[in-house]
Amino acid sequence: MNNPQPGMQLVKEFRPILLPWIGAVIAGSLIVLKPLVDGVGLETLLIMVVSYGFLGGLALVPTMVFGQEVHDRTLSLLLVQPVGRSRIWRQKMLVAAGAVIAGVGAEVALLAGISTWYPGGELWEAVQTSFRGEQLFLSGVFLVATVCSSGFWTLEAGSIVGGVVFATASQLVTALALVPVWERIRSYDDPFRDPLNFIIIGVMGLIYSGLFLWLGWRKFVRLELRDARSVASGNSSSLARRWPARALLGSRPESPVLNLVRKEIWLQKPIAQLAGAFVVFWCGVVVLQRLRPNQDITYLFDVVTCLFAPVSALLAGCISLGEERSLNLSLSQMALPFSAPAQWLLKLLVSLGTAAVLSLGLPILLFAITGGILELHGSGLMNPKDEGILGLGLVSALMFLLGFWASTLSGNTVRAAIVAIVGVITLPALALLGIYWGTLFLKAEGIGSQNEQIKAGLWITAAGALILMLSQSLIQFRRWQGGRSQLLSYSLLLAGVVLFVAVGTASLGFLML
Amino acid sequence: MLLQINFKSGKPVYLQVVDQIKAAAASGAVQSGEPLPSIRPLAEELRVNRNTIAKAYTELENQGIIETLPGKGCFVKPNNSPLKKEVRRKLLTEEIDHVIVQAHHLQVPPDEFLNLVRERQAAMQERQNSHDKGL
Amino acid sequence: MNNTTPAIEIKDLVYTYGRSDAVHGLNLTVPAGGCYGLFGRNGAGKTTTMKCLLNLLRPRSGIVRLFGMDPAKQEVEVKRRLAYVPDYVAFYPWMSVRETLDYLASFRAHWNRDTERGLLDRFQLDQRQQTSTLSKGQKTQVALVAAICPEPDLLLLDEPTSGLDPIVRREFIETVIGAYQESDPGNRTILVSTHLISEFEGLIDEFTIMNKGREVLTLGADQARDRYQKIRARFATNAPETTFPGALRQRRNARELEIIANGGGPEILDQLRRLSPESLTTEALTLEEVFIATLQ
Repeated sequence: MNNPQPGMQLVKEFRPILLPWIGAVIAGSLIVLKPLVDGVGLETLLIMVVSYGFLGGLALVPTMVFGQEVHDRTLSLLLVQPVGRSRIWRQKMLVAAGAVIAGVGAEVALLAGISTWYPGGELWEAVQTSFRGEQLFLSGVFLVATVCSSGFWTLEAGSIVGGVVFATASQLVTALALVPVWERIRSYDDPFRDPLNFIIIGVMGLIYSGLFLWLGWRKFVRLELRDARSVASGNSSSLARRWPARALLGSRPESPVLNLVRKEIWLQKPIAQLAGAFVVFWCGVVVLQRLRPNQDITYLFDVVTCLFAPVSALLAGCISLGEERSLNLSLSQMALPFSAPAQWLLKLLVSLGTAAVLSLGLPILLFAITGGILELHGSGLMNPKDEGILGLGLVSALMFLLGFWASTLSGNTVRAAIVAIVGVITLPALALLGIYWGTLFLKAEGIGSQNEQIKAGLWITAAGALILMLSQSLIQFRRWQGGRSQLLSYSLLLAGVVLFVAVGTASLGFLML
Repeated sequence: MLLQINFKSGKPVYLQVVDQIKAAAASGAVQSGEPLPSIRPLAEELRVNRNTIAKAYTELENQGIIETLPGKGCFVKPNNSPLKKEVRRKLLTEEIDHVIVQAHHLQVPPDEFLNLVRERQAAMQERQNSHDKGL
Repeated sequence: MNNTTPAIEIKDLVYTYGRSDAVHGLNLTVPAGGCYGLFGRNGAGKTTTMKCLLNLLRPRSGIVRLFGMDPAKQEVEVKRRLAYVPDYVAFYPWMSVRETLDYLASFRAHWNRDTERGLLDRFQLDQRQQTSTLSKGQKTQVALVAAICPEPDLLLLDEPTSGLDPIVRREFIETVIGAYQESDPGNRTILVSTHLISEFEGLIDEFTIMNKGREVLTLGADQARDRYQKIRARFATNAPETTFPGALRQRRNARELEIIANGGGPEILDQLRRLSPESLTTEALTLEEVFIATLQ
C-alpha cells in the first residue's frame, strides 16, 4: 500500500533544528547595528553577541540533530523501525551539513540584501573591521569540525549541552596539543602571516572532521540503548559524577534553610566541573607559555575565558530549576513546608553566587595569579581601556538572568538554555532597535542624540527588563506548571516591554538632558 | 448467551467454552437455528485468545453440536444429532462419574444425591418450558 | 510461509551490564502463530531480552534468531516483520497523532488504512492532537495502532498495560485479540513481557517464567492450569502433620490444610482422602498464582 517515503523522514529532521538555525542567522545579521554602537563603547558586546550567536547557533544545529532524539527519548522509536542505521546516520549528517551551509548562505544573502539600502559601503566596512580574515577562516574550520564531530560527541555525552561543550572542548584541546608539535617543525612570530599555516590548519581540520565523522558513524551503528530513558545511563546531566565532598554537603536535620542551600549548591555541581576543566585548560596554557617564552600565546586566555564565562553563567542560571524539573524533584520540593518565594529567592541567590564566583571571579583570579607568573602585558581582556571584561561581564550576567528566567518557564535545562540563548540575541537587538528608532524620532524633531542619552536609555531598558523578568520568574515559580503558551506569552511581553521602554527612553531622552 | 471463563477450574479454556455452549444448547438458552457469536467478538468479550475460540468451535463442530454455514456463521444443530447414541451416553457417563466423586467428597449420601438429581431435572424442564413460551 | 520455523529462538543468551536486569543463559522458543507470555519479577531480564531481539542491545554470547534470521546481521529484514510496543512510549513531541502515524507508516511497505481508521475511532483519538499533550494511555494506544496497522508477523509487547487505567487496559487487550489476530491468525505471533499476568491470562497459549536472567519454567497455559492445583482440606480434629511428596508448598492452620501441588495432585488427593477429611476441595491455579508459587 505505502512505499517507504524517505522524503517525509528528512522533513522531520529539520523541525528540531529550526529554532537554533533562525537564531544563528538573526544573530549574525545583528552586525548591521555596528555603526549604531560605535563610540558608545559597546562594540565588544555586539561583536560577542554576533559571533557567539552565529557560531553557537550553527554549532547547535548539528548537535540538535542527534541531541533532540536523545533528549526526547525517541531514539528507541527510531531504531526499532525497519531502516538501516547507516542510512539514518547519513540522513542526519546530510541534514546537519545542509542546514549549516544554508545558514552561512542565508547570512551572506541577508547581509548582501541589507547592505543595498544601508548608507554607503558602511556595512562591509563594519564587517571587515570587526572580523579579521583569519577569524573567519578559523570559524569556517570550526563549523566543519563541529558538523562532523557533533554526532559522536552528542552520543558520548548523552545530552545536547554536553554535546556542544565536548565538541568545542575537544577541538580546543586538539589545537592546543598540536601547536607545540607544529612549532617543532616551523617557528614563527605571527602565525597568520604565513599562508602555509592556513593550509596546515585546514588539513588538520579535515583530518579531525573525517576521524570524528567515522567514529560517530561507528558509535551510532553499534549503539546500545540500555535504559529507555537515556543514552548515557543515570543523571541527565552528563557531567554528573561522584561528588567527594558529600560529607560537607550532606543534609543534616537542623535548619531547613541550610539544607536547602546545600541542596542548591549540590545542583550546581556540573558548573563546578566545567570550572575544573577550565582551570585545567588554563594551567595547560600557562605551562605551554613557559616552555615557549619567545612566542605570545596569552590570547588563548582571552579566548577560553570568553567561551567559559557566558556558558557557565548560562548553565548556572538554568540548572537550578532545570535539573530539578527534569529529575521530577520539583513536585516534592514544592510540597515542602517552605514558602515558594523564599525557595525562589534562595535559588536565585545561590545560582547568582555560583555564577559570580565561578564565571567571573575565577577567570579574574586566574588572570591575577598568571599575571605574576607570566608578566602579562596587559593586552586583551585585562586591558581596562578596551572594556573587554566589562562586556564579558554584561554578556555573562545577561546569560545568567535569561537562563534563570527561562528555566522557570520551561521544563528542563536544555530548553531553558536554548530559550536563553535566543533571548540573549533578541533582547539586546530589540533594545538597540528601540534606541535607534527613538533617535530617529529625535532627529526628525531636530534634536541630536548624544552618547550619554543612548547609554542612559539602555540602562533604563535593562533595569526595566530585569524587574519584569524577575517578577515573571517568581510568579511562574509559584505556579510551577509551565507550558509552551506560557513561555510564548511571557517572552512576547518581555520583548514588547524592552522595545517600548527603549523607544520611549530614547525619544523622551531630550527631557532628561 | 453469556459465557464465563473460570481460570481456576483447571479445565482448558476451550473445553469450558465447548461445555458452556453445549449446556446452553441443552437448556434452550440457544435454540437450534440461532446464530452463535462469531469468533472475534467472542474472543474479545471473554478476553481469550482467538485461536482458543476457534478451537472450541472446531471441537463443537466435530461433536456435531454446531454447524458452520459459509457466509452466514455458526448455528446450533437441531437436537437430533448425528452422533451415535452410545457416544452421547459415554459423554454423559463421564460427567456423571465426576459428579459422583464430588458427592462423595461433600459427603452427600446416595439417596439424597438421586433426589437432588430429580429436583434439578424438574427445574431444568421448567426453565425450558418458560423459554419456549417466549419469556 | 514456513510454519515450522519458530518466530523467536533464543539459545544460551548472555547479556550483562552492571548488576540489574542481566540475562545469564536464557533459552526460549516461541512458535509461530500463538501468544507467548514472558513473566518475571522486576530486574529478571525480560526487557533486556526484548532489547536483544530488537538489536537495541548486543548479546555477549548466545544465539538470537527471529524467523531464522539474526537481528544484528539482518536488522532491517527482521524489523520489517515485527512491530514493537514499548513500556515507555516516546514520540516526537511536536508531531500530531496524524503526523506520527504517517511518519511511522513511511517506513513500512504495507499499512492497513482501514484498520487504522477503525482503531482511531474506537480509541476516540483526535488525530490533530499533539503527542506531547496525550496521556500515557493515549500514547500507548497510538503506539498500538502504529504496531497493528502494518500487520506484521510478530508483535512484541513490553509491559504494555502498566500504568493504564482498567478501561484502557481492557480495550488494549481486546484490540490485540481482535484487530491483530483477525487476518492470517495462524501466522501472527505475539510475545508479551509483563508482570500483570492476570490481565493476559486468557490470551496466553504458552509462557516462560524468568528469574535472575534464566528461564525457570516453560509450560503451556492449559497444561499449567491442569498441573498446578490448590487443594484444601478441613479435618474434624487437628490437621495431620505429614508432608506430602509432590507438594510445592503446604500450609497448616489448626484444622485446615492447604497444599499447592505441582503435578502430583491426584496422588495427594488420594492420600488426603485416606485421612478422612471433613471437606476436600481442589481448584486450579491461575497463571499469576503459578508465577507466585514458582518464584516464592
